[in-house]
Amino acid sequence: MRRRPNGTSEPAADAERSVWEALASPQPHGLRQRLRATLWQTRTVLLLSAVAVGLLALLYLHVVGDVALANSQLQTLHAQHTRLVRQDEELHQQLGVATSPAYIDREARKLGLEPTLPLPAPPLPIPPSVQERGATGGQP
Amino acid sequence: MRLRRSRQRQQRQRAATMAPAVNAAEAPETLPLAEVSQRRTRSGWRERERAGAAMLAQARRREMGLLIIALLVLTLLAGRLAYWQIWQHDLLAARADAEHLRVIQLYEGRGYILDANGNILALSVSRDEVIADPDVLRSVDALPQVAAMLARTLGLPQPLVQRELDVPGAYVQVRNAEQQLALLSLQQSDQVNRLIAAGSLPGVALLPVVQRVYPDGALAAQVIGFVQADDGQGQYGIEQQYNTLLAGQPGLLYTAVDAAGDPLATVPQRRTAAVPGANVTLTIDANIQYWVEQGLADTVRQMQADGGTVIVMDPQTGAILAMASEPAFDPNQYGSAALADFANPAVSSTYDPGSVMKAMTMAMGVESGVLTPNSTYDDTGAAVVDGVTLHNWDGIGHGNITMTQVLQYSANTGAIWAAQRIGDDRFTSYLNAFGFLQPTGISLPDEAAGARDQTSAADLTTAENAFGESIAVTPLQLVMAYGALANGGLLMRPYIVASVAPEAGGQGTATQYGPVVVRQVVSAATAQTVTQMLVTSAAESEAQMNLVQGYTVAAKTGTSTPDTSDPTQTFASVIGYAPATHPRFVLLVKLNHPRTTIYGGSAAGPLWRALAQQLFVYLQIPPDANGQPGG
Repeated sequence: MRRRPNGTSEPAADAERSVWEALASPQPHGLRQRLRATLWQTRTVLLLSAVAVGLLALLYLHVVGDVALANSQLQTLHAQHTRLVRQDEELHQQLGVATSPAYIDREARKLGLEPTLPLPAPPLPIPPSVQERGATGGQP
Repeated sequence: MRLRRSRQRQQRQRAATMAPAVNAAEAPETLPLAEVSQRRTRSGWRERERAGAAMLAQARRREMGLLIIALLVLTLLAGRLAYWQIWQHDLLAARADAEHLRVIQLYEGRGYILDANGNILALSVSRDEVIADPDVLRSVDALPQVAAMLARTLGLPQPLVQRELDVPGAYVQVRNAEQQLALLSLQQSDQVNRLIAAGSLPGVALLPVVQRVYPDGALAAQVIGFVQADDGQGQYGIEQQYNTLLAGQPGLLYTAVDAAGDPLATVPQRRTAAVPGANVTLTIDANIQYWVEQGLADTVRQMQADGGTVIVMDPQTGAILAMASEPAFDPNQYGSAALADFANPAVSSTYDPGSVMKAMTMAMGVESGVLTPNSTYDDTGAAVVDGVTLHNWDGIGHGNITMTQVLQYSANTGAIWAAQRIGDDRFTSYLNAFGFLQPTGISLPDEAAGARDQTSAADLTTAENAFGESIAVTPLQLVMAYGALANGGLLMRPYIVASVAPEAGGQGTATQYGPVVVRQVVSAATAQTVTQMLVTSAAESEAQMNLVQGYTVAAKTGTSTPDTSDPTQTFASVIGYAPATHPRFVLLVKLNHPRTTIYGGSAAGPLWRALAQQLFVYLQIPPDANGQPGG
């Protein structure tokens, strides 16, 4: 049994431990404390930086994802537009064919219709005397 | 009591365990615990400080070393970076741009060509053609399967498709049985795209192409022309004349593309807007054009002619309602047509018009005051000019006849008599005033001006010109000149384009084209007089075959034989306008070298009459002759 300086008796082991605890306690001008404080600050900065970078990365990925999605939608719309343009062209072509006089004439004949005026009128015969005289220009 | 003993025992044990750590020499002295602690702390701390300082110095040295190494590395990297980014910037930028930047041409499509009623005569259609890499097909041993699938989708025989695909090399375009590119419909494109996406067609791709389509086939082909497939340039006709306006201007898109070559919206783009092609509306009426072409083709066949031309014009405005020539071609298959058929003879070919020119001669004479319809001369059947004897077409002398009878009998000597009174200079001036010997100015390419014979003496040339020989005119010039007679002496410039309008959404405003008065060639009274002469002569001559029940018709036939060695090689024509009281159309029918009959009245007359009948009905023209033929 050992005695403490204030007269109370404490085990020696407890005294030894308090020395080490005192060593471990923060001391404003000690190297370890400075290093440890610096380490804490660095850790804090790194942690905050990592969080910030993570947030920025998240934001960037979000934006890139949105833009990529928009780009994909744009391409889909472009493909749809191209298809609609082609469809429009084909319909115009069909319209052109359906309104062409030749097509209407053909379809009308299929329905049994005939032109009201025969084309062309039969040629009239020329008198043989006229044909035999030949021509030297300025004929009728 | 028992608890106290236990605690004491624990304290002893703890003291025993701590004891070896205390300096043994000092233990017997039993120094106060605080002093022991202070001493130990001071000495340990100094040692540690010294060790820490040594470690710090060592770390600083290491740090300095690492810093120097890092600086060296960074310097090297910076140098390398500067080398690539500054010295090699242009090269790298060019390589990078070539890798992912594209200049994409944006097409807005070629404009339509429409008839007067808005019917589509020409349009552009985007289609896909099938291309394949035969090497790939062979390497995966998929040629028969791919050929079978493509044949089924395209509706082509499988052996044909397999033969098309089984060729040496790495690129082939699939063609149909006519050796034309197999262009897919929208549904076929969708089917093939699905098969390609499913991986069923390795080595096969679709390539978009723009095809110019003419839904009416050969209708007005020589007026419209065609678009050359390889360079998209308009050739002949309206396609050539209005190529720049029809084609518009392609836009440019500077952009980065993805692996599939599609533009990326995630990068900055620079775009030059495309100018869509304009729509050209013609004055041509597709229905009249169709009847004209059908009638002309039948007549050419019946008359065993080499070809022919028909023009229908509104004399009040100069608008061309129809313009057709035989032989024609189908612009959808221009590759199989003869080169000579592409030109438009109505404006680019000249011929000796023959007796149809006598109406012009009479108009010149009446306007000059040297003759009237009742002026008479003695027709002996021949006239001598500059030592050359010129005969009537039938060699018959009709005795003392009037100028109206000159037209009725188509007497060459009467036209010569009139021309001699008009005089060479005045005759030439009137020829120019009527629009001969110069292009009419119609918006069609390759228009001919015409010419007079320069080898003979002036008075002989004038005498021959008076009845339509030794002068070359285009069919359109003749129609234009007759239009002046029909329009009170007012010469109208023929026009075939009614408007050029930008495509919907395009820039600019529509340009309308309308009647243009060239000049007053003869007075209205002279025009009226000559019209009456033509009506009378048509009613009483062989040209009466051209008359139509209930309508007054001012018409003249013409037959010319430019090659005197073969008088059967003629240009047979009829030109006239109706109703004579208020003409609504000028109609010219001209046949090249008809063989069934060689004369204008008999060869071209029937078609003239049939077309006039159609026009009276179609244009809803009321009769003006009280049911009497020829008024």
